[in-house]
Amino acid sequence: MESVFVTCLMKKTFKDIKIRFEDGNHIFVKDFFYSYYPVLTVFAEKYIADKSICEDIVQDVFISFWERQNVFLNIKALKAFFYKSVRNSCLDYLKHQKVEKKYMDLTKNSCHESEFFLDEVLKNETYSVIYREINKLPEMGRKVLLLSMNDNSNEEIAGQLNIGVNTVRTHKARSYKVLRAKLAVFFKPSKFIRQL
Amino acid sequence: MAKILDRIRIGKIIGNFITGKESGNEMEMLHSWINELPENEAKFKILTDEREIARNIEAFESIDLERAWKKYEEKNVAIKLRKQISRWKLAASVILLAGLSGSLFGYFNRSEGSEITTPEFFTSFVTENGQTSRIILPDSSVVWLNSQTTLSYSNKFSIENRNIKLDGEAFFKVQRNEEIPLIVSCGNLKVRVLGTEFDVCSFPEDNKVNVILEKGKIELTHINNLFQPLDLRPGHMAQFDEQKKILSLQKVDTYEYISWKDGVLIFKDTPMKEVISKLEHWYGVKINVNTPDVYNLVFNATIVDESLEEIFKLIEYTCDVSYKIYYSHNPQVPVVIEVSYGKKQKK
Repeated sequence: MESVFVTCLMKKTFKDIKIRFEDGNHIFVKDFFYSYYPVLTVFAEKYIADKSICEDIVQDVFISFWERQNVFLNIKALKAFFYKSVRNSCLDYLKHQKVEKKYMDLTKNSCHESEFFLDEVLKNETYSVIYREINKLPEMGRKVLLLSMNDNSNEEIAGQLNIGVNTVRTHKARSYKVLRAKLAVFFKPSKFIRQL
Repeated sequence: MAKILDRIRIGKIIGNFITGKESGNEMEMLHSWINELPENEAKFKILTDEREIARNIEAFESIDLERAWKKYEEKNVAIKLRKQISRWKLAASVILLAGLSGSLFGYFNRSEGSEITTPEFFTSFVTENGQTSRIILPDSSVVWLNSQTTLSYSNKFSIENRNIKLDGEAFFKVQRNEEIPLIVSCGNLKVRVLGTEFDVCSFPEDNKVNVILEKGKIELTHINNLFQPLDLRPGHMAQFDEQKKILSLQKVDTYEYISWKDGVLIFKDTPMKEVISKLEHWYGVKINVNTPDVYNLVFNATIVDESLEEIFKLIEYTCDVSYKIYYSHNPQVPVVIEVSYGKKQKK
């Protein structure tokens, strides 16, 4: 009886709990989970192919975080902690699976902040910003944008989503606003760098 | 560490650049990062590739967040409960009580159709005689409970307030929160803190509340304003005598008072009255003093994991007392020790 009661009680308050930083800022546990759970899962998939195992690992890292008494200086330090914890859990898992030989080099390098690890962090950090922006779009707009970015023509998109070509154009015009203006030009990187 | 923080910083800048909301400052940082190393330029080219972006965003989107969050919430609660339960086992008997009166009140309130307010529930932790326990509060502050201690807080804890009611002794390691101060009410005393480490000790039979500050700053107030609010300094102990209404301050070796949380008892010229009360709590026994002269003695020892028998041998050896241990049938106080002044008479 008592346990059930406590369960309800904790559920009610859990999402409102804040993570505080030494620099005085804070974020809500739920917000952080919503923006970083997918990012960390995709990050983990670089180490372990099985997505459900990756999800379990990320879940456990989030839970062990809650059990800790760590204080972080700022949000960057918190993110660094999460990336490292997920990486370590992945490597532990691989070790456990007795696939040491195959992954030995990976493990060795990763003991220090290997370039592989650091570049994955860089990549996921970059895309987490874009993910957050794209998420602000309505669902259809998001779908159109992603298909278009994947080099699909307006006709192809219209066919796939079962909407008219003109609707696709409208969505495209609206959705591309979350990305840099004149994106197409900028995404020819060499050109962009000259402009800089 | 620095390297990973650097990548996190650059990652955010590139993300801001791609979504067109970078600041002028960030543009400069991005520029110098790209020019720093030839491979940085290559990395940048890949990161800004439209198809690469789409592929990664799709990967993020393929995850069922609602389900994941639900699972996370459930796991959290389950693990918390399991931890608590295993902690109970460890401490043999920490009892979790839910404030039923509070929940009923909230329930009736709502059924009357008044505005929806979350009813206030209370969670209590109780340690029995001879047991200590460590709990983690919802704001992730850590509290060590000495034996025979009750600590309670409501479901508004760390949301609206951080109020704690305490009877007995507890050592607090408080998570810093400038917005919501943590307030420990103990008898008529209130201890207000933002984030620090301190010990509060009040057992009813002593009629005294001791507050020992290890680190940081705390403010002490009396609910009837019997004294001016007092800022306690680290390394000091404030003692309020409920009966005589006297507040005294002294500099102390704090570890002597808080070592119990590490399973260590330290006595340094400690009056026998205090020694006896501490041992009673620590071991969950009853100690009867036959001759009042015993109270004039002081005791010195550091006790780690010693049996009661060994401690009394030590007391007998260093002080002028004799003791006798009885094992009673009363489950509340299974062990009674009688202490008398003077050496045991040899028959």
